[in-house]
Amino acid sequence: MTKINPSQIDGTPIKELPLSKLIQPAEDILAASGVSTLLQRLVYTEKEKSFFLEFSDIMPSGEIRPLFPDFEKEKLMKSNWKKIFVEIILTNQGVRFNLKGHYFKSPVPIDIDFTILQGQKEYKEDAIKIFDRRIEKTYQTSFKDIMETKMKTGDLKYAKATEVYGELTIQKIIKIFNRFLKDWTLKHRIIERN
Amino acid sequence: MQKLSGPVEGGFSSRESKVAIHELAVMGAPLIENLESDFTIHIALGKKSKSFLKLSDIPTIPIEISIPEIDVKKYRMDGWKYASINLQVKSDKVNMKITGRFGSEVDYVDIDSKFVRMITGDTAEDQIDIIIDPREDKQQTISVLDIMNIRLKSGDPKYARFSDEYPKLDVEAVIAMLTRYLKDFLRSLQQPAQEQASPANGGMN
Repeated sequence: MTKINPSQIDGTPIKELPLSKLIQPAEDILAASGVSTLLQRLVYTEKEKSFFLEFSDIMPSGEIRPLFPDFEKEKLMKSNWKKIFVEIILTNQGVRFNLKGHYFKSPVPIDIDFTILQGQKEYKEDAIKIFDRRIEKTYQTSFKDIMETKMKTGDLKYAKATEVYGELTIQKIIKIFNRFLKDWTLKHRIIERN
Repeated sequence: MQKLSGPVEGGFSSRESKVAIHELAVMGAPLIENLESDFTIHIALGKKSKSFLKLSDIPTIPIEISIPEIDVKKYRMDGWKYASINLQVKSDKVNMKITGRFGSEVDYVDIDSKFVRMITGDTAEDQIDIIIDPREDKQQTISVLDIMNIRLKSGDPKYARFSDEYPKLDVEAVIAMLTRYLKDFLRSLQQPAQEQASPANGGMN
C-alpha cells in the first residue's frame, strides 16, 4: 500500500505554507477522486479526536488523498479552546479554511466561526463571527481588520509589521487569531448594558 | 506534488459500483490497519443530504473505498422525511444501522434497524423496528430477510428485485426494498379495515 504524508507538500509542512500553495494540489486531489468538493474536518474536544471527509452530491470514484496540516492537540487547544473544528475544503474554485468551535476564557464563553476562501490569486472571502453565549449576541469582524488593528503607538496590535495579509501561513493565521481572541475575551468580561 | 491518476485511469467506481455490505470490511481493511481503528461511513437523507467518513485520525494512505450512492431525491419523493444510514466498518464485520422517519407530516412511522454482516458474508443480526406509536409502545419488528421472502401470488418477490440475493445485498438494495415495503405498510395503516391484511408477516406488539 502506497504511503502518503497528508501534512506535507514536497517536504514542507502544510501549516508552514500559505493557503495559496494548496490550490494546485487541491485540483490534483479532486481530479483523482472524481469529486468537485472535498471537505476535510479535524475535530478536537478535550477528550476526543476525529477526522471527517465529507462529500456533497457526488461520491468519490477514485482514490482520496487527504491534505491536512498536522496540528498537535495540546498546542491547538492550549489557547482556551474547549472544542475546535479545523476545516480545509478543497474545491475547484479555491481552498477554504475554516476555524470553528467553542472558546472559553473565564468568564467569557464564545462560539467562533472564522472562514477564509483562498482563490487563485487572493482571498475571496474573509469573515469572522463571534457569538457571545451569555447575551446571545453575534459580533462580526474579519481577519483583515484584525491584522490592521493598531495600538495607540501606531504599531500593529496582533500582527507583526513583516506579516502580509493574504500571504500568511496557516500556523500564523491561527496564532494571530488566538492573540485577538485572548484580547477580545478580556475586553468583554463585563457585559455592557444597553 | 506527485500527479495523481484520475478515476478513469484505474479508479474503482466502475469495477465496484455495487459493493455487498460485508465487502466494505474487505475494502476498508487497509484503512483500519493504517488507523488502528474502525471507521464509519455515514449517509444522511434529508432536505440537505451529505455523506461522510468519520475516522479516528488523518490516514497516511490513499483512501479507496466505495461510498454507497443513494438517490436522495428519489427516496425523499418515495416517502422518507429523513434518514440516517450508518455503516460502522470493523475488521471482521460491518454494522449497518438505518434510523429515520417515513411518511407524511401526519401519518408516519419511525424506523430503527440493525443489520450486521460478518466479513465472511454471514449475517449476525437482522432486525427492523417500525415504530407506529411510541406513546402506546406500538411497533412492528421485521427483518430484511422477512421482507425479501414476501411474495406475490405469482410467486415473484413482492419487494425484492429479481437480482437481489440475501448474502450479497448492498446498501442501496436494502434501502430500496425497505422503502417499497414501508409504502405498503403505511397504506395498510391508513386503511383500518385492511389492517389484518398488513403486508408484513412480523408480529405486532
